[in-house]
Amino acid sequence: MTSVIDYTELFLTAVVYTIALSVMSIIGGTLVGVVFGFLSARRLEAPHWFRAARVFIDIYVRIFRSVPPLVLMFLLYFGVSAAMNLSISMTAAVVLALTLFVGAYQSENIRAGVESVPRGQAEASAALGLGIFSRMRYVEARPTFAVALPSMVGQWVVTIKDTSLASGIGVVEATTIALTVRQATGETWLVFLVLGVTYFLINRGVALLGSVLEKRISRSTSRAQSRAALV
Amino acid sequence: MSEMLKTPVVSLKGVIKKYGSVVAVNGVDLEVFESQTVAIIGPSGSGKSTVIRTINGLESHDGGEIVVNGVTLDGSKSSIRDVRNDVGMVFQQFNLFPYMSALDNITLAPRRRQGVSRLDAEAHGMELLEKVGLKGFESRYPSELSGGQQQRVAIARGLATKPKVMLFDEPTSALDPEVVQDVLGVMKDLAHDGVTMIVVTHELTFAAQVANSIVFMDAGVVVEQGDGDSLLRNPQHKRTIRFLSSLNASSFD
Amino acid sequence: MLDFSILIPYFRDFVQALGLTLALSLSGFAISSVLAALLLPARMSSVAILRRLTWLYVEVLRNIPVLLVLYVVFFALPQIGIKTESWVAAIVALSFNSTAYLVEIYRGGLNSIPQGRYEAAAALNLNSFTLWTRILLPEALRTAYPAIGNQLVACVLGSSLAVLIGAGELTGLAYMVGASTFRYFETFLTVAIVYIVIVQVINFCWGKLGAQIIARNTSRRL
Ligand SMILES: Nc1ncnc2c1ncn2[C@@H]1O[C@H](COP(=O)(O)OP(=O)(O)O)[C@@H](O)[C@H]1O
Ligand SMILES: [Mg+2]
Repeated sequence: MTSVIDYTELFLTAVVYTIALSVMSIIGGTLVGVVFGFLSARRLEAPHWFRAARVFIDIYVRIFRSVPPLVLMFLLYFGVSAAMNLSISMTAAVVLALTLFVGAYQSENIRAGVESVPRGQAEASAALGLGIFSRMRYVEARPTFAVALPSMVGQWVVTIKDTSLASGIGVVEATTIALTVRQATGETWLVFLVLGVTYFLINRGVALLGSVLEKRISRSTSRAQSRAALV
Repeated sequence: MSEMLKTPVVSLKGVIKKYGSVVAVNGVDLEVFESQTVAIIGPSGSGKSTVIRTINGLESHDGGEIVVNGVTLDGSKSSIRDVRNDVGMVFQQFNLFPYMSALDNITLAPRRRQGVSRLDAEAHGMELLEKVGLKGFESRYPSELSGGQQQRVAIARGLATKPKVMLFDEPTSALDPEVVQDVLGVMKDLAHDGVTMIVVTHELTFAAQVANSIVFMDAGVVVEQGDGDSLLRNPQHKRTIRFLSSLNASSFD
Repeated sequence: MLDFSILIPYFRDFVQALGLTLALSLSGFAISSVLAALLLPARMSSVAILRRLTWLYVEVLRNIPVLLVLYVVFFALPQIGIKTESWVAAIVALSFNSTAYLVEIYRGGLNSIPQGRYEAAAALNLNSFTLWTRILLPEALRTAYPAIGNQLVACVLGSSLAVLIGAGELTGLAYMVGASTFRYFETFLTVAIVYIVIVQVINFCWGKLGAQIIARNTSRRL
């Protein structure tokens, strides 16, 4: 049997893939969440078509919060290619599945954030004649993210952890390679320890990044010099 | 006199507003002419806020007619947009945007809604800040301002779009007593400068000194309307008398 | 083109697999509810070592994939003589994972109670039993209730990972049926719909149960 050390480079490459999958899925899930969350929040003087969008978004959220991401991956990777004669890459299946799954949770986070913006802010915006998109950008965005950021970061961590499910369809990433190394070396405990520490460090890093972002947002209600808000 | 020949800036005819089965406003008539200040007084729940909020479409009305600067509020989006272009509003709770400096609060609508350049909007904003006695406060965030200062920024924000009429809904009710006069002082100056204003207030001294006309509302209707002398010193209706004595209005004798 | 009728012969297998999915997720949830309640005093203890150890447990379990926990239980534990069936391993892994989340959910519930409540209770001279059973726990439960429900749903979704150690719950069965019929799309879509239905039913029941609990708590006489 070979030694675990021999697999260092392979494993590091796999970690890079894990990070790449995570970044793509986090961007996807966050984008879905921001767009759907802002569109579907209940608020004063929203345009009528927002209500139609909310019906659709509610259904989306209900569905995709309820399907295990692993099943989504199987459905997209094995199912779609079998049924539609259209081959979808493993990576695409993983990123799409995680985007849809996490996007549903992020939509709820953002929606709750928007809905927590005090009513008076919307009234003031309306009285000033601001359109809905100006209102989102200048009035709602910052308080929304200030409120939603902790749970958004929580979902980023979920996303990173769930990239491990990609091993279920054989995508090369940290967990897949860890299983390979375990088979080749028989060093079960050591391999899993390394894998665990890897995920732990990545996720703590993301959490740290999150708390830096949180501080920056909350500081900007009382920064001595202004500008930023309207640039 | 000549006032009667002009068309009013704001005109309400038989305005009705219901919340479910509650009739909050039950047929209110009101005319406000250019450069006039009209004060609305009355007990809590009498419909003062509702009336003032129908004027810029924050509440839709269920009956009657509202015309602001020639635009009839017919429930259409365009009529609401046009009216809000001509109406500034100041709220009891200030409602400043907490993530923006005082100056950004003031320049937001001119820049984003009226397409004024940043340079022009900020120059005008600085003038307005000076006018409300807050020169040098442009970079402060609302959390770094006292209630009275916040409300004066809110007044400047309302004026920034150069409205034809300013609405005030109990602008001093959320303030500590010692800063109430700062805000009322600014409003007095505005009245003096000829800004058209509709002010819901419990400050009878202010109303007596500044308002061309005082409207007393109770239970969703205008009970009595007159100038400071007639309405405060010589009220005709029982309900007015009762309300004024409850506010201990003896100081007007 | 799509042909769901190929699934009909497997109907009984699906019912069984559904049973296993429910068994895995509900036991995982039940065990972790209890474990979390046992860990909570340690997590909030004034004894630093207890607090730090539970903190470490929570942090580790929340920052590594459940899948890894599952692999540790199924592949690594046997090396030190603890060998389990795949379904047992799934329940154990789910429980460990869910416990970490529930401890924090419980703690959040308790922390959300305003200080004034303690002061009011002290002013009324309530003993600590009454304080906890009549004031703190009901109030904390009410705040934490929706999050606890979400954790139950997380257990259902998490049980699907058992396929990767060869358990025959819903996802595992779908995988096998897909492989033998080559009708992956129909099978996984069907299973996805089954999960959606399970979660909707759970959400509905959890909501009803919560309304009952709150009603009882608020109308109960002393
Ligand atoms: N959004 C609302 N929904 C239901 N009833 C309301 C609402 N706003 C005001 N009302 C009712 O309308 C009446 C008038 O309220 P308001 O105009 O706020 O009175 P005021 O400003 O004179 O205190 C009150 O009876 C109040 O309860
Ligand atoms: Mg009012």
